[in-house]
Amino acid sequence: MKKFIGIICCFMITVVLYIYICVVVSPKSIEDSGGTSYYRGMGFLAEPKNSIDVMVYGNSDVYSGFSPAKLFDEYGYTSYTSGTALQTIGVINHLLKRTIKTQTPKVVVLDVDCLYEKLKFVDNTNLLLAPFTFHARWKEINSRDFYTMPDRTKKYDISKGYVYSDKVYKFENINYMGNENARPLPVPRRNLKQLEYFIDTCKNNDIEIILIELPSATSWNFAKHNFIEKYSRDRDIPFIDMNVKDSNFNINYSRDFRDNGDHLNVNGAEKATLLIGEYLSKNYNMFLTDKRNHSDYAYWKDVVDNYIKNKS
Amino acid sequence: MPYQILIFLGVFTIVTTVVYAVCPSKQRYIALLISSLAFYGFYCGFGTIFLITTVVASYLAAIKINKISDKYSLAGLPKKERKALKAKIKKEKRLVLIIYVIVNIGILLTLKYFNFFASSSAVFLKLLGITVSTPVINIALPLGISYYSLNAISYVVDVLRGKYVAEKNILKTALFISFFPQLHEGPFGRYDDLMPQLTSGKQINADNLFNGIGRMIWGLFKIFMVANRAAIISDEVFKNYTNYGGFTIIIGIIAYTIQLYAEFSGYIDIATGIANIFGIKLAKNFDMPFLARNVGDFWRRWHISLGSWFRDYIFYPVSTSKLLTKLIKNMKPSLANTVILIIPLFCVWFLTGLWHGASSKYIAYGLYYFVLMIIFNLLSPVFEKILTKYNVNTDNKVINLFRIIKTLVLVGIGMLMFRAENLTIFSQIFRSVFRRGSEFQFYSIIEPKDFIALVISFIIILISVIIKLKDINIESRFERVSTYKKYWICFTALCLVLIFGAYGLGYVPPDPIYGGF
Repeated sequence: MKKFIGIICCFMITVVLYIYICVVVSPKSIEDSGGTSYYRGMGFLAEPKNSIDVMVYGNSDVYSGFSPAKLFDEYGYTSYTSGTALQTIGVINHLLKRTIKTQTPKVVVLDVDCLYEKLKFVDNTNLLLAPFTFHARWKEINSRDFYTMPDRTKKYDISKGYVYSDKVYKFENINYMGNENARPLPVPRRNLKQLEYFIDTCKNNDIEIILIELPSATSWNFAKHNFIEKYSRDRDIPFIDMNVKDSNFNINYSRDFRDNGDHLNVNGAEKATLLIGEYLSKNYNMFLTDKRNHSDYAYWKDVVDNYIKNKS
Repeated sequence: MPYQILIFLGVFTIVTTVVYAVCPSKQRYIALLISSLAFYGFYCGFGTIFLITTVVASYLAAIKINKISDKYSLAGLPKKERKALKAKIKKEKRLVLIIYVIVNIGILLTLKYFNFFASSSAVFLKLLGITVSTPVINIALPLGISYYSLNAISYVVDVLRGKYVAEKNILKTALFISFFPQLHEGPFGRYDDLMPQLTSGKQINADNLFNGIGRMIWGLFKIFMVANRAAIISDEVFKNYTNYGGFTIIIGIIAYTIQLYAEFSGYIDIATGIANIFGIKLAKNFDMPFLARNVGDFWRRWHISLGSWFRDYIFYPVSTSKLLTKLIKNMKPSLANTVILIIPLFCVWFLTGLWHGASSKYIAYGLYYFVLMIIFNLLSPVFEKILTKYNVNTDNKVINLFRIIKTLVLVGIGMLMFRAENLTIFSQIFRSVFRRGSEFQFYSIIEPKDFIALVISFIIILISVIIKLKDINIESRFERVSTYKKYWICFTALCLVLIFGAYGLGYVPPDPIYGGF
């Protein structure tokens, strides 16, 4: 009997300790990074109703490579970057549904790298899997993490989903795209179905779609490019691939990346944002208006100021 | 997915532990066999057919060899006839062994080495002005084929040598060859050592369970805390070796050596831990290799089970072969001694290199150690004489330290050869050591906190070595603590690996190096 009680106590203490560890390592708000996962992408839920004109969806490439503050500063378009690491198109559909409940975006920009993401092995919304999902977070843990409960719900994010990084990594492999005539690599069938759903939802809500691919040397190549290019041509959806010369992005390998060619830094993000901004102003100026002098959008000045403060 | 094998091992260990525990004692080995085959089937799919072929061939060959002995009776025969019959029996047995080795090694050669030999032959023929198109075999290399093939051969050879009789139960033979913890990276097991343990049917007890789990966590610690972080540094240096020189290249080699040791010994710890749960002790594979005083000593401490396999099944048979005996018959004793050393050693190191992979760099890697061994064997008596002449104590601490450092340098060059993509790149990197390269931006490669975690974890491994040197057996101390203490030690260690380990998002997982063999 004594042994049995001992085992039960042992088990209970283990469960309590494990849950406590899960709580400690979990991001406490959408502003916390979950190691390399960022949840700022959910911040659009806290934006004023119908205030966002351009929604940008994708994985870590978009939260590193598209700056809404820069777009507003240069073109006056309001936008939000809704991306998290290893985001799948299935999750993006879920986000899109939540977006159109409170927002009426005129244009959505989808970074297509996420179409090749496989199913996630661990569900990052499950608290009990937190040590696996957020294990890289030990580098950022502070005393607050030991007594604060995680809360990743509605929270205003002044950086509008963008994760600032001025880290520069000199990247060497300039031939990462491989053979230009590579056989197209199809998007997995499950993701293709989800993409169809995404396109239909946008069309049903009168939202224009732009497919983009931000420079990413570790995940992108001509095989993927060739498939998406054909797909976008067939569906009559514009596709801007910043990894190829035609896009005029002109990657600066010694300046634009923050890591091993995987993600853009602030230099690369500004170039990418301006390129998208130019495309939007040329092709969608009938839907999009410059809101820089609009009193209802005065709070965007704080967004731009915060961005400039980060840069200085 | 580099961690797939660990996930598979984890899941199969849990399931097998439960099934094994509830099985009747006599059927427990069947539970282990079913688990092993299911593990292999799920992981390798079609490749399982090759494992089964090896099992069947080994079983039949061993039985046939035994039957040959039983077929003839030596009793009552005159000495001359008895000798002739013995020779006949030996010949018949050898014929069976040759056919068996052709089948077993044939599978290995075809799957692992065919493309290499075909392309090498094409290059050679091209040099002679003959252009041929070479066929290519596109079958994924079955998991652990280099391990289980040699395990199976050792079993049949030992039956032929009369070390033990052939196993009549094919299920037991199959279990010996396919026991799942050692399929991925070994260690090599011996039938007479493993079989009684595999079939003992001992119930799992709390001590074995926690000893096994403890050992597994120690393996995970080595892989996730040390190897995966050292890989960040070594990958950067070796991928961009043209940019770097001098000290940076040396750092890269040190990082790779640490990575290889931590990863390989980590996987061996995991295999040993899993086997421990079932009360099975696997062969020892490492014994503080970086404290070796010469390269021979290094190979007696590094991948011990492979070294002993080559010693027992290549070195000794070649040394005592009729061909070699005939060859040295009319030679001067000094020359004969050299030849009797060189030829078996060449065979051992050529095959050791080839075992590691189908590439000229691996052959060169093996031959590099062959040359070092020969030099060591020839020069060590000379040095010993000089030291004795000048009354130098050869067990002096300074001399031993010098020997260890010398061995580390030689092993480091071997590691560089092992890591470089090919021999041309090896020579380029080797030359880079002596030139100045661009500055190594340490913290742009590895984050400071990751580096600190690497250093602390490596110090923990060093402390474990120091404790061992002090003749303190950590394993037996751990075995002596109460079950509750063991549980909490395991829980704490697992949480540390879970939280601070280098895996998943933000880390590029390196593929298991020895797993590819």
